[in-house]
Amino acid sequence: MTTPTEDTTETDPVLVASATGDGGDKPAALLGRTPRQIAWSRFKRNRTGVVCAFIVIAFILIAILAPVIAGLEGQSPYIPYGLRDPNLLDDFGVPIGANGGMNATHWFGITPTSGFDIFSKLVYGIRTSLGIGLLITIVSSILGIVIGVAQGYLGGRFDYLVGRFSDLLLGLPSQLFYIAFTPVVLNMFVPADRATPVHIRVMAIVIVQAFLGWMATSRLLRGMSLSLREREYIEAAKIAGASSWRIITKELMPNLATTMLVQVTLLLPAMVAAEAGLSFLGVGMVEPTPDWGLMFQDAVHNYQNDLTYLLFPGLSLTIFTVAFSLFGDAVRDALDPKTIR
Amino acid sequence: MLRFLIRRALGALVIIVLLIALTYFAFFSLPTDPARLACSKGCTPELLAQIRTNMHLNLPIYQQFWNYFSGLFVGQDFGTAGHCAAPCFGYSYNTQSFVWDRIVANYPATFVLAIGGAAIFLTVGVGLGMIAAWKQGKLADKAATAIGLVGQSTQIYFLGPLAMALFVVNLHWLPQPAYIPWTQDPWGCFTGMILPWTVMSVIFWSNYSRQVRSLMLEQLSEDHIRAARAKGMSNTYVWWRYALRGAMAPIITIFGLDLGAVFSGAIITEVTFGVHGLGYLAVIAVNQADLYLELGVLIFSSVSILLFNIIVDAAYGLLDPRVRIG
Amino acid sequence: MPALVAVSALTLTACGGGGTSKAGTTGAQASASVQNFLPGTAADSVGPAPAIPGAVTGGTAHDIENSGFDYLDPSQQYVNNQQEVGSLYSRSLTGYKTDPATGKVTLVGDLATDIGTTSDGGKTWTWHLKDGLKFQDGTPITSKDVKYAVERLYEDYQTQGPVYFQTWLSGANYRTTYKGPSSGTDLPDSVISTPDDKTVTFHFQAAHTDASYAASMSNITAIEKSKDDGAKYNAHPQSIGPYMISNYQAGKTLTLVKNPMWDPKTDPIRHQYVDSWVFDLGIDNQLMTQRLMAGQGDDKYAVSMALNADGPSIKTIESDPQYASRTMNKFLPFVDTYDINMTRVTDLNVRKALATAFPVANVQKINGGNATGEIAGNLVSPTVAGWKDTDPLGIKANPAGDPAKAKAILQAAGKLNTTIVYAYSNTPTGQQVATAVSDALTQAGFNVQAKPLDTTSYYTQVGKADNGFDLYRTGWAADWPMASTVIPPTLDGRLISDGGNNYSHYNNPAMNSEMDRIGQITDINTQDAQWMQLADKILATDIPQIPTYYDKYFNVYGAGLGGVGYNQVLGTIDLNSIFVKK
Repeated sequence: MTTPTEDTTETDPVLVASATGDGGDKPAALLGRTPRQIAWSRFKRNRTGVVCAFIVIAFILIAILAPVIAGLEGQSPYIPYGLRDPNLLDDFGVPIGANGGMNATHWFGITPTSGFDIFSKLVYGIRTSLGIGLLITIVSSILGIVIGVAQGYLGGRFDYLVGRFSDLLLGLPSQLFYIAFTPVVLNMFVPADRATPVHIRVMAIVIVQAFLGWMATSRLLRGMSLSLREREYIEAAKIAGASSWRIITKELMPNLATTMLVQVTLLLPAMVAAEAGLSFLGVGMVEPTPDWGLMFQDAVHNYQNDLTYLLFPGLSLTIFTVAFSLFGDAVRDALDPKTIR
Repeated sequence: MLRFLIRRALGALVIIVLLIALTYFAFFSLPTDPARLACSKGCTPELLAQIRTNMHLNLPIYQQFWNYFSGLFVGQDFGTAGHCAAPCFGYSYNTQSFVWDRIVANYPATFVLAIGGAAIFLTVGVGLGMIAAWKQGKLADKAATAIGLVGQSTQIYFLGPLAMALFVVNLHWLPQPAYIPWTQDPWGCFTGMILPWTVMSVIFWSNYSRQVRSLMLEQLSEDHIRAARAKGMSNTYVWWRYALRGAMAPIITIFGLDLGAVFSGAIITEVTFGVHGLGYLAVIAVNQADLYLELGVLIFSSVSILLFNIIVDAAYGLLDPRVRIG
Repeated sequence: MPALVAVSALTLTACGGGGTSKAGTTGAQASASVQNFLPGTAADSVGPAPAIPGAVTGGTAHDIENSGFDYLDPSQQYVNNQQEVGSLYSRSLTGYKTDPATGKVTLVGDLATDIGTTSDGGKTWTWHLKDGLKFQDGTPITSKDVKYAVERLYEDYQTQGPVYFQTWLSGANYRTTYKGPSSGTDLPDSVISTPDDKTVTFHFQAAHTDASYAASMSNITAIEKSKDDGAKYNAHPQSIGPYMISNYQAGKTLTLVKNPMWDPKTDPIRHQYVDSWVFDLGIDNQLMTQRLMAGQGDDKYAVSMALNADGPSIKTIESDPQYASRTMNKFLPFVDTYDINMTRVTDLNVRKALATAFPVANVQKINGGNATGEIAGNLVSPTVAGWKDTDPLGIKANPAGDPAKAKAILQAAGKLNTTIVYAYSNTPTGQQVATAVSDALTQAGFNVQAKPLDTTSYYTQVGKADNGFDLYRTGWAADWPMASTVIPPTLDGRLISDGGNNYSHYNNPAMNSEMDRIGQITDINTQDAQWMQLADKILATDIPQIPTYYDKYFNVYGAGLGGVGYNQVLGTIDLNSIFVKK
C-alpha cells in the first residue's frame, strides 16, 4: 500500500470495544515519524500482542512447512496404520497403550478405528483449516470492501438496493444456510456420479461462506467512505478531474487500510472455526483430507473411549483463536489509539 | 413508531418471499431422489413410478413451486395423506408427516435450550463485565476478561464432550443430556439441559462482558452520575440505579439479536448434545434429503430472526428516549 | 431394506468401536443343529402358544426407538421394527412360532388353520380361517376381510409393503389391472375367491411353492372395510391381536393396551403377559444405550427391539460382567456384501484379485466389530433355512485379505494397475471404510478411485444399470427364511434394470435357469439345500459379490423383563413373549 498522506489516526474511530487493557496510546512524542512507525512502536510495547504474534506466526509456519514437520516424526497423515498393523488397535478399534497410543513413533497417538497418525494429521490439518479460513477471509473481505466502498461512494439507488440485499443476507440463519447450501453449490460443479476433487470442495465451502461473510465489512466500509467522501482532499481530487476509479483506489482505499486490516484479523479466526464446524457437521471436507473439523467429528464420536484424541484438535484450535484475537486487538490498539476500551 | 414497525414488517415480508423462491429452486436442482428414498426394500421400477406420482414429482417445477407457495397461505391437499392447513410447509415423505407438525414437535426443545442458555449467558456475561468494571485494571478485571476471551475462542463440540466425559461418564453427576419436556418432568428437564445450556452460553460471555465493562466505565464518567455522587448518594446506589440502567439499552440490543440466533436453532449445540430441536431437525433434513423439511426449517428460522430484529429495534426505541425512529 | 440402511446413516450416528464377542454372547447359536423355519402342521397351528417358563401377568413393558414408526398400517409395514410392533396388534395368514424350550422356529397358520394348501403344484393356494377371530370392535373376521386387505394393496398410496402377493396375482404392473377397492370394484373370483366366510383362495399366475412363507408378511392380514379411510388408516389401525392402540402421537409415543376381543385359543404364537406396552419414540442411539445400561425407573422394563447399542458403548457392555445376563447378541437377516459391477469388470481374474485383496476384517471392525457383524463366507444369512457355514472364496480362512497374493493374480493376468472405481456413501463410517478398501486394493496393484456419493442418493446411483462404478457396498435381507428371497432378487440376470436389486448386474443364463428349476421344487427342505448350493456355486464360478459379514443385533435390555426372546426371521427382540418380573 502507498503511505497515506493523512495521519491514519485522524480517521473516524472504529467503534469496536477492545478486550485488552494495556497498549500505549500516548501521543507520539517524536516528530518526523510516519504513522506506520508510530503504530509499530506502539505494537512492540504490547507484550501480549507480541507473544500472540509469535504464536500466530508459528501456526502459519507449521501450515506452510507441514511436510517438513510431519517428516520429523516420519509418519504420513494418509496411511491408516491401525488397519495395516493389527497390534495398534484393540478389538474395539480403540488405540492400545496409554493416552490414545502415544509413543515414540506416533507422538500424539493414533486415531481410533483406522489408526491414522494424529500428529501428522494435526499438522497437515492446520494447512487445510487455515488455508480455507484464509481464502474465505480474503474473498469475503474483497467483496465487502468493493461493495462497501462502492455503496458509500456512489450512493443513491445502488446504495439502497445493495443495502437491502445485505439486510436479506444478514437475516439468514448462517449456519443453517451453510449446511443446506454447500451440497447445492457442490452439485453445480460436479455431477452426482462423479467424485468431487478436493479443490472443488474447497471452492464450494469458500463460496458459501464468503457469500454470507462480507456484510459486516461492507457496512463498516460504507459508513467510512460516506464520511470520507465529504473530506476536502477528495473534493480537491474531484475538482482536479480525477476519475471515480482513481479517487476510490488512490485516495479512499489507502485511508481505509487500517479498518480493513482490523476487520481481517476479526474475520480470520471466525472463518477457521466456521470451516471446522462445517466439516464437523459432515458437509465440509471428507476423509482422507486431513482437516481439524473432521478430526473433531471423529474424536467427538469416540470421546467415551479415547478422550486424548479430542484434546489435540480442541486445544490447538482454542490456542489459535485466542492468540489470533489478542493479536488482532493489539494490531487495532496500535493503529487506532482512540479505540474505546 | 407504528409506521416504522409496519415498514420494517413489509420489508421483512419481501425478504422472506425472495428467500423462499431462491431456496426452493436451489434445493430442487439437487440430484437427490426423494422417491427412491421412500421406496423401501424390493423397490421395483413400477413402485418407484407410483411413488413419484404420489409425491407430484412429475409435475413441472414451477407448478410444484406454486403449489408449495400458495400452500403456505391457503393450505394444500396431499391426496390420501389429508389436508394440510395453512401455514402448510409441505409434507415430509421420510416420516409421513406434515413439516409444520415436525417443526412444532421439535420447537419446544429449541425454545427451552434458548431460554436457559440465554439466561445463563446474560447473567454470566453481564456479571463478568460488572466485575471487570468494578475492579478496573485489577486482577479480577483481567481474569474476567480472560475467561470471556477463552470462552469465546472455544468450540461447543470441544467443550461439550469434555463436560460430558467429566460429569456424565466419570462422575455420574448428571444423566446423558437430552430434552425432556418440562411439563412432564421439570427436574429431569433441568438436569438434562444444564450441560447444553452452560456450554452453549460460554461462547456468548465475552461479548457481554466487554460491552458491559466499557459501557459502565463510560456511564460512570458521565456528568449526571458525577452529580449524583457529589450529592452524596452511596456508591452502590449510583452504580445500580444510574450506571447499570444507562448501560442497559445497548445490552438489550445485543441480547435481542443473540436471542434471534438461538431461537432459530443452535445447530452445533443440538447436534453435540443430541437435543432434538430445530437445528437437529435441519441436520436430519439435510442428511435425508428431506427437501421440504429443510425448506421449512430454513424459512421458520429466518422468520424468527427477522422477527427478533424488529422487536429489538422497537425495544430500543422504547428504552432509550434519545432514539426517535420513524 | 437397502434404502433404509442408507437413511439411518446420519452424520453422527455411524457405528464405531466394535469388538470380538466373548463366549456366551455370540450369535453362533443360530448355527446349532436345530432345523429351523420348517413348515408346521395344522396341529402346530392350534392355540394357545406354549407358556413361557416363569411367566407372570401384569405390569407395563417399555420400548425405546430412535425414530418414529412411520407406518402402523399393517399393509404398509416392511421395516423389521414396524413388523414386530405390528405383530402385537395385527396378525397374518401364517406366522412363526418359537418353541420356548428348544428355540426351534416353525412356520404355522396364524389367522389360518394351517400354512395353506395347494392343489396344483403352487399356482392355487387356499387358506381356511380359524373360529373365534374378531376385530377389536367385536366384529367377526371373515375371508372377505382377508380379500379386502389384499385388494387394498392395489391402491395408489400403498407403496411401502412387500409386493409379492400383488405381483404373483396380477403381474409386475398390477396397478394397471385394478385400482383398489376405492374404485368401487372387487378383484374377480378368478384372482381371489371367497367361497365361504372361512375360506380364501388365491389364483397366482405362476407356481409359487413358498406362498406359505409369503403369507406371513404383515400385509397379508385382515382389514375391516368399514374402518378403512385410506392413508389415514395409518394413524389408527384396528387390532386383531392381543393388544390395541390406546394412544399414538406420531414420532413421540405409542401406547398399547390389552385387546379383550383377542382369544388366546386362536393364537399359537402370541402371549398377553403384560398389561400395556409403551413405546418411547425419537430417542438418540447414545441416550437409548445409556438408559438401557443404567436401567433406572421405567427403563428397568425396557428393550430396544431392533437397535444396536451405540458404537462406543459396546466396549463397556462387553467388558463389564454386570451386563452379561441381559445382553442379546443374535444374527440379523442381513448380509453385507461388496458388489462387483459385472458389466464393467468382465475379467474373472480381476474379480478374483479383488476378492483376495479385500480387507474384510478391517471393514467389519470399522462397522462395529464382531458384536454387530460376524465374518461371512457366503451370501446367505445364518437366519435362513438351509444355511451352511461354507467359504467358497476363502474369506473366513483369511479375513484380513492378502494383497500380495492378489497382486500375483493380477500380474499373471497382465492386469496390473487396473482402475477400480469404488463408490461409497459419504458418511463418517463410509469414509473410513473407503480408506481401508483403497489402502488394501492399492497395495494389491489396483488403481483405486474412491467416489463418495451423497448418502441420500446412494442407492439411486448404484442402482442404475449403467452406473459407472466397479465396486460398492449393498446389504440384503431375506424376507422369509428361505434363500428364494435372496438369490433370485439379487442375482437373477433377467431382473437387471434401473432401480432393480441385482446390483452386481450378474447375468449367467445357466444360473438363471437353475433358479427357475429350484423355485419349482415342492419339497421345501430340498429347495433350501439347493439354494445354498447354488449360492456357493455362483460365488465360486463368477465372484459377482464379495461377502463380508452377517449383521448382528447387539444390545442390553432391562433387568426387570423376563421371557426376552429373539425373532430371527425379522431380526428383532420378540415382543410377544416378554413379561414383567414380579
